[in-house]
Amino acid sequence: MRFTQEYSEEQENFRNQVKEKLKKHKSLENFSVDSKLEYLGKQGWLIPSFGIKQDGVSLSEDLSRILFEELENAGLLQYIDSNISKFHQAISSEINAEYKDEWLHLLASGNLTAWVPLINQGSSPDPDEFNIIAFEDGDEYVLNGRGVFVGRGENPGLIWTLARINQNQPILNNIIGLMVPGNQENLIVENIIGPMGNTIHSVSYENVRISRSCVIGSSGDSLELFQSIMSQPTEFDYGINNNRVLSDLIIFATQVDSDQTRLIDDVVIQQSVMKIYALNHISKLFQARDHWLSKSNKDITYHRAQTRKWQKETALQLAKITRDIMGIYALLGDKEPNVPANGRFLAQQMDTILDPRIANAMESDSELIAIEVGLINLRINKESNAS
Amino acid sequence: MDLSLTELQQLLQNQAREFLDAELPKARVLEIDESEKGFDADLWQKISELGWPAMVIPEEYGGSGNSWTDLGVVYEVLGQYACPSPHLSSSVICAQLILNAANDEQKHSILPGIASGEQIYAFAYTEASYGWAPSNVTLSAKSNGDGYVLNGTKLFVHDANVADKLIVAARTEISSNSEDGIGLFIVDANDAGVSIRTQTGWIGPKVAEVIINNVKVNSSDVLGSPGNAWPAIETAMDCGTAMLNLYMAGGTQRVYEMARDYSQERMAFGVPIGTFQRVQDHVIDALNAADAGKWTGFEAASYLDEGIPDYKNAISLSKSVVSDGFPLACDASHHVHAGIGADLNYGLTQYTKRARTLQHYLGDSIYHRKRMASLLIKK
Repeated sequence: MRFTQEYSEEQENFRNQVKEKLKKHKSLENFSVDSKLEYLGKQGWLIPSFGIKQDGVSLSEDLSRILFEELENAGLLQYIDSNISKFHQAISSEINAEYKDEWLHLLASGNLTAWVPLINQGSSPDPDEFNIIAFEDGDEYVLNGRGVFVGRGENPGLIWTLARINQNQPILNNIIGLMVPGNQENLIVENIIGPMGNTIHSVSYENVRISRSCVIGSSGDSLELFQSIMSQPTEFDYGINNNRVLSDLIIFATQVDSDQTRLIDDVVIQQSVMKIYALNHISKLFQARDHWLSKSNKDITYHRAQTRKWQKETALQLAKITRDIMGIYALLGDKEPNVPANGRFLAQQMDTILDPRIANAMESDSELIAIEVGLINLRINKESNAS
Repeated sequence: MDLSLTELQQLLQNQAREFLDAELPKARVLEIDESEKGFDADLWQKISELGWPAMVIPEEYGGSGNSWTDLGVVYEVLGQYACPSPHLSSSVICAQLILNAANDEQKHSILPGIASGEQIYAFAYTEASYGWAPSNVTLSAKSNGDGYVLNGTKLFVHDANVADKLIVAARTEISSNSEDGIGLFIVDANDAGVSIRTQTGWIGPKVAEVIINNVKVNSSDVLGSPGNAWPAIETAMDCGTAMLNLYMAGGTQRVYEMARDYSQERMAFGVPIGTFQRVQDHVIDALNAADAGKWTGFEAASYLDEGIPDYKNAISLSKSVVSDGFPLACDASHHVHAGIGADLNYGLTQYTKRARTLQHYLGDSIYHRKRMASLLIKK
């Protein structure tokens, strides 16, 4: 067994190139979210595995991992948005709008944000989450209502809108998906929380008219299509990485005193920090194990679900321990003069409720593990139900 | 990164499984646990014939010079079968104390006996103020002509009750730095000044009180330079902890499997209890603890093999994980099993007893997290 990672010359060279580029743009950390996204887009790093024609850089899985490691070290990983690649995929295959090519380019170059409805994924739909109504009017749909969305930045680029087409019918089969440009008239946006990274937005639609060509999929399967695309694995399933925030927390606890004692020397705080350090290390070990299983063509059964569940629990624990140690400073916005770590603590706090990789579907991971270890044969049951 | 077992490691794993399948049914573990000494000489003889006590002793001293990962593969299986043996005390910790502290003559005279399993050594370290830091060593060693005289009491000493010899950690001088002034002394377990009593309670494997009353140790039985033994002790304890971690990870794996299997068989309301989400959560908790123990355990063993400087941190991290995870997995497994899990003959309690004992051995999770902090913050 060898746990140390060895890199090829090509991989080392690539890492150095990324480091060099990031070094030249060290001041990026103080830039706005939009500027950061634009920078990442220009490098082709928002959709790194996509081809050059699609504005990506055709990175292999291994090189993508190296890129993400370096972006994390530079505090930029949180701006890499898995929604971008999912929007890219959805628009490429499901839409025929006249702006399609322009959207794809703007998304990949970081000039168009991608917002998705904040709905409970992986379980039966909750009617209260669908408050936008669409009715047909000629070649257009007219949208009214209010929805809650999550996505980077403060200005909407594209909003994947799920609207009910018949309010009196059950939700299933009565939802239509529309890609709504954020510059549309009669669209009122209110950013609720989250100054950086993921932000929650409340968007009100008042007779917003959208061309029929912006419909994603057919009306009957819009919700299923949305859930299917959002749950598909991408290179961004590299994982939730807490390294940078954990390192920030250790630095904070080492530099800040309480009653003339460094916080890290307080027994309770020290134990908490080391506990989260160990949890995070195991997260990385599980990730490395899954990668090795996949590369060596060995059976992957419960492993990925276990890793996801572990990562989610670690992120939540990190958020809790950060609040315990830092108190209210953990919640300071990035523009506050006394904000520690450029607001990365708050971003991590917000991600624990906004990033679907942390906040969503812990139960579905457990269910997958249970199936794979043979506790329940839901797969067979589901198949027999379907037939 | 390559997480595969080598061909030799696969052979060792299969050999260990086949041997323990044949020699150590769960009823036998219970018999050994309930015996006065908690030791089966016949089993130890067979283990010795397999060459396991020789594995991490260099060939020049009668060993086979295997890697820590090789032995770790065997330890994981030993843990799965809750195998009672003095291997960790004698063939790992004491062998490492001798390798790291003794002179060449002592190595040549002592290590072959440990490697063959004919001689069993135990490490007498902990005292009334139970703990694994150097400051916990207070037993007195006073210089007396060409040797030392030892006085004091050791507690919770693993395998002292079956050992031929004890390696006693004792304080030769009081120093402001507690790492200074510790010596290692070989004491005959049958010396008239040594009294050994197995401590009672729900403890497994067995531990003993060792009272040392005016025991004279000749200079030939002093390991290394008296007063400077801490580095050798720390290294030996690290090696021992690395193996203990995998033993505990193996035990965790087995209690997970017991929970999983039982939840597939036991019916309630017409369905296996494994279909209930709350039962699944317990089984998944045990699985996660098992995998976390296994992978941190093998990572630490491989760091030892490769001489990676961060090995101490890796070992402590793993011990903090298994010290919490093994008892947690046992608790989860008891939740799944309910009443039957408490039946001694069923086999789960043998693991629970070990989990709750071994979580403290060589340092509990709190001790090891503190150690991690001291290693990381120094950086």
